[in-house]
Amino acid sequence: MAVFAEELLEAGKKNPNIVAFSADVKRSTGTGVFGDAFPDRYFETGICEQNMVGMAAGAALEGKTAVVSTYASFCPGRTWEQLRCSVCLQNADVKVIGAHIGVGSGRDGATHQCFEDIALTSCLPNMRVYSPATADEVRRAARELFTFKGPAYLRLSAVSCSAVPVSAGPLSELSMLKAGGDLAVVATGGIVRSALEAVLEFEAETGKSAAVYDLARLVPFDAEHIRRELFGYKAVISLEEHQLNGGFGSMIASAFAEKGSHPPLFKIGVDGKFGLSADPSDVYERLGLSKNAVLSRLREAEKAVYA
Amino acid sequence: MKETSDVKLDWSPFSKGVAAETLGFQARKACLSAKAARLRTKAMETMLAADYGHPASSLGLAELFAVLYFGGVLNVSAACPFAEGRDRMVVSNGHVSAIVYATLAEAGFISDDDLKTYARTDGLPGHLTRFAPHGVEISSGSLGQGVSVAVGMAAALKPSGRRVFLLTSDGEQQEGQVWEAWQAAVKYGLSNLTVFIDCNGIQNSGRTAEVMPVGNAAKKFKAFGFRTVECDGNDVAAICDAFALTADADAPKAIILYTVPGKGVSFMENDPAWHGDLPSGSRAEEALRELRNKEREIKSWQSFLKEMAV
Repeated sequence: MAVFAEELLEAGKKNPNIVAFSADVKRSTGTGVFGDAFPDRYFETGICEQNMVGMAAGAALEGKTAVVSTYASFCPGRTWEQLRCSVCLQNADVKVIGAHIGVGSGRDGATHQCFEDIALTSCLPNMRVYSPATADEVRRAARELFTFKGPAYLRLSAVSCSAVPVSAGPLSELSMLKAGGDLAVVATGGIVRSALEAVLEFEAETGKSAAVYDLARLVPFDAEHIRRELFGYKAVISLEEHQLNGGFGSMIASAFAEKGSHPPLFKIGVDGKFGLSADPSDVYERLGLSKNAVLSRLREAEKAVYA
Repeated sequence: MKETSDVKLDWSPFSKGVAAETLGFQARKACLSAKAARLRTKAMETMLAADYGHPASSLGLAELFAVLYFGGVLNVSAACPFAEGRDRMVVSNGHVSAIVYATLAEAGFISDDDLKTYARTDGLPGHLTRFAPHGVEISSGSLGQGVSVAVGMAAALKPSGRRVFLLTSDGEQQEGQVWEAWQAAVKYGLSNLTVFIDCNGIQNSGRTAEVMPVGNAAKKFKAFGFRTVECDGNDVAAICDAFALTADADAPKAIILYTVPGKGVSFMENDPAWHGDLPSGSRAEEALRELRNKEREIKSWQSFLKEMAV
């Protein structure tokens, strides 16, 4: 069973107020497991994402904690205004689970590949945004969702990163997956695995060391913490399975820019392109998100800093 | 002016029982009509003072709000606005805020002074906002969304037997989201949901039939599986009857109200120009004069009925 489905089931056992909604994706997102266990607390709303979000908001206004799930392309993708007015404006206790963010299954192609979800959700008042990288972070984020009342978005990568962190604090802080002294790669979501692969090759090639971090909670965003952790490096590379505009790298850039002097920032993300139908590894390659893309950005950073 | 009548009728040839029943019915009807007239004047005064509002639909809905809040339909109380067992009155077409506030003022949820803050800083919001003031159940204004929210509320409240009443409009049926919601309401057998569809035939930019015809609302709701009744939405007795006709349904209920937009102000009636605009100057005075005259007329009718009943 997928990690999130397990956590939702556990949360449902403890809290009878949790209700779940699915837009014809119960097999793909794992909410079906919750539905089998709690049929009275499960609503299959069909291929109607906008209504699913509205109904969840209505249930939340009546004291429920409502979980909605589908692919990120469709929610938040299709339902942004419902999230804005029905959920966030009323501070309704709705937890949005966006599955298959980014490249997703690859073969489904551009319609199903969502590289815009951070931009869509991070600008909404009252909305918290979680973007876990590892299975453990998915688990912790899922648990944290049910510790507060109010809207949240949890974006789930199709493939999690399997690394075990060197050190990990709360989800609002950077989690270090690999230590290093010269450069730092800071990522969000499962894509951090590309960074871990690239960094090892980079270190062998250049003799420089690079740290790798991920951030699981993007909103609220602790700019002070980001600066404190990253300002010691000679250069920082951001990595995300998302458009560069309005994404994680932009958040880092904003935090950096507030201070006069800061390390140079090299952003890796999708640069204004749509996805494509192909084997996932080919999609990552084509969109510039692969290990090779990170490696070439690391080299570029190294040259710029040590020239 | 003393409002009594010199008419003296001899009832003896008729059944006194039937006469009493007729008089009783007329008196109850007049009482609700008087309330509707009061709400209409109050809503118009509120909008004119603010020079803001959506007068056409607000005026058209006075009878519905009179029946709901003063005809013994809604179980809500200004003293306990958050009572768990209350009926949820959800207004999805949140631009009809003026008639909602006039009603809440008349029902004691807010004061007449509050009405003076309409659409002003820290005052009563132009579009309805949850619990601001008490008595408003959801934030609405982005059309279509309140429908899903009400369906979700009804789904959450059904196990406890609580009722949700939802007001939406013909124009709002142009939003695709509402049809998603109606499907779900039927699928989940939400017999605790009663929907009022205000069919006034106008919308922001013109006549609904021209902007985007919504077809035969009654047929559509029937086809979706609602217990559906149509009525004259400006006739308090017809609304009461429609309500009674749907009461025992074990499906969600749809009451299609045919209303006259701008009702009560002759130059505003049925004219889409008054969807979101208010008359000014002498026309504003004329509008208020008409509405107040109507109130007086109903009061005279009420005193007449009272006399007859003696």
